[in-house]
Amino acid sequence: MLKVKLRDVEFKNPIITAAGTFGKGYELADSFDLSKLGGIIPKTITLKKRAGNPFPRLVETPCGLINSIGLENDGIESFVKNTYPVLKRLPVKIIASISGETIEEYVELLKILVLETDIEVFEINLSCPNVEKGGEEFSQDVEVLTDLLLKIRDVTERLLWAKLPPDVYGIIDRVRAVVSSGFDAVVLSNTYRATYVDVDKMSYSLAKEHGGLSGPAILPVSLYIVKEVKKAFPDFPVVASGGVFSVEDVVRYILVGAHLVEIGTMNFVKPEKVFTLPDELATYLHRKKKSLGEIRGYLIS
Amino acid sequence: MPRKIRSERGELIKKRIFGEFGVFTFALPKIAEEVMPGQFVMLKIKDEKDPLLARPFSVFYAEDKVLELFVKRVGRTTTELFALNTGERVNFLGPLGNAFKNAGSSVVLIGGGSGVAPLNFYARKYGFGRFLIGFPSYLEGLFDIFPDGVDIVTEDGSFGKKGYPTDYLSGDEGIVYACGPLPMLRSLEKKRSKNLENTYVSLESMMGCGFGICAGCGVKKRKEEGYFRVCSDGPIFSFSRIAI
Ligand SMILES: Cc1cc2nc3c(=O)[nH]c(=O)nc-3n(C[C@H](O)[C@H](O)[C@H](O)COP(=O)(O)OP(=O)(O)OC[C@H]3O[C@@H](n4cnc5c(N)ncnc54)[C@H](O)[C@@H]3O)c2cc1C
Ligand SMILES: Cc1cc2nc3c(=O)[nH]c(=O)nc-3n(C[C@H](O)[C@H](O)[C@H](O)COP(=O)(O)O)c2cc1C
Ligand code: FES
Repeated sequence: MLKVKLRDVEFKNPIITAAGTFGKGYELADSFDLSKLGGIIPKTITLKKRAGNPFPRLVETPCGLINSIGLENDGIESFVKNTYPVLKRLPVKIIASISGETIEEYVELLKILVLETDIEVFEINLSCPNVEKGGEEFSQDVEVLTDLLLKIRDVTERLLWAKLPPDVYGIIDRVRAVVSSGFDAVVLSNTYRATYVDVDKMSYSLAKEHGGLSGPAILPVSLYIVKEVKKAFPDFPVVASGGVFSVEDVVRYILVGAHLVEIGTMNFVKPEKVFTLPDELATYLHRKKKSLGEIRGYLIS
Repeated sequence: MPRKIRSERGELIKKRIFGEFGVFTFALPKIAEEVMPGQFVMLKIKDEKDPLLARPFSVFYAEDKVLELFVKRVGRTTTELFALNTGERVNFLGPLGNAFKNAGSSVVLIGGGSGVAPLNFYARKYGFGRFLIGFPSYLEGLFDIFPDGVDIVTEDGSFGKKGYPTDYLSGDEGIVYACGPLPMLRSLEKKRSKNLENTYVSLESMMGCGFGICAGCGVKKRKEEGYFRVCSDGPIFSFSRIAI
């Protein structure tokens, strides 16, 4: 009843944990039932190990959180050797998020993952605000973006999603590049560039001065972006991400056309909650006497 | 590797306030039964989006389905906690982090301010050789909550010994367990420079989650590049492994 199909890949339900907000993917495996979820996205993988940015890396803001983690991860070699064997045994679909500093790095990462794992879905992170090279950089220029996307598409037939930075003005051109490169979905959106100031210390709250804002504060803006994109590309699948803290928020994104919804910051505060969202969504649909397909894009068409 | 954590509602059954410090007793059957000295919980008072994040607190004592916190009032959540009435319920996640190894009753425990919390749990469960606690000043009733034999140090000398608890260490003790503000940990590091291996500290850090999924907490490794996670590699570390 909650199943979602993207091309030939079936997701048990539309609820997925977002990259960077669910650790390596297995930390909560003994505490909660991972098989409840539509999928999980482990922390973004890079070619080399990254220690991440200096601390403090987090600051709480009104209804939100700014992070400047800086893609801390053990690198692809360790992912394949140490993390993936554990993930493979979990009763849940794994979606791998990758980020490179150059186009070649993205291509190499994907080649390794296609060769060494059975992962069916890849989220190409083009939107990390916290790294000096790569990340958001590739999303700035539509030509560069298109070149990158085409080269990535060449590597594999498996499902590819492009995760873009939020932008309330120029998003349509970038999504057009994603669509025309033959990608299977666009993920909207990552965190918003943001900063905060500690008045007592008379300093920036984060060691890196700024980072990316997530949490309930961003929901209305990310929801707007999904709506605009779905209006421009009604048939192109969108994976929504930003500020979800309840089943109502999940429904909001589905009503403006999202196929899948990623849950991020909420996992820090209420780690148990994401596992009940699929049942809560089923209850909502039952109450409305509608199917998931009937409410998806209800406000768009 | 995964540890089992749970989310549990706890009812405040008793609160004792001593100036800016307070002891809060919650009926919290499951977590209270599982938690070990040195471990912590994440506390969220209201199910609201602001303040968004839960806050970490070491366990001061736990026994018979009841768990106690020893808290210093510093900001929003701690102020909400001080204002909580008995009978009200709040949300906990736990038990979190690693625990002090039971090293028997010859251990020297040293705590400053709210940092006394995890050491008190150790002292009451396993005993101690010496238990030094440091506070700025005398506070009516505060010192009665600690076990017999505790060594009290006040900065102004208004009660017990005068100065800082680290003043009363020789540096040659066997195993030392400590928790407290950064200046205390720095002077501990100096005092115990020949014995860092046997000096264990419980650290604080800004925390996003408290259970290893956000990468928002950390402490520098002493011997190599990179960071440990305070919440899931710690909060307790041998001083020989970390740099503060
Ligand atoms: C593992 C661990 C165990 C802890 N155990 C205890 C305990 O047993 N008892 C206790 O009283 N406190 C403990 N703390 C500190 C406690 O988490 C903070 O005091 C709390 O987060 C403050 O929340 P708040 O909403 O009241 O303050 P906020 O409104 O968030 O902040 C107000 C001010 O408080 C200070 N502050 C915020 N966070 C911290 C922090 N982590 N450490 C020190 N100062 C801070 C800052 O100066 C800040 O500007 C522990 C922290 C950690 C990481
Ligand atoms: C601490 C933290 C770390 C994150 N790390 C990543 C990451 O490694 N890769 C990525 O694509 N997105 C990362 N994100 C963004 C989230 O996946 C998500 O898109 C964003 O936080 C918005 O959703 P939310 O409001 O539900 O958290 C991170 C977010 C947070 C808060
Ligand atoms: S607080 Fe989230 S990883 Fe430590």
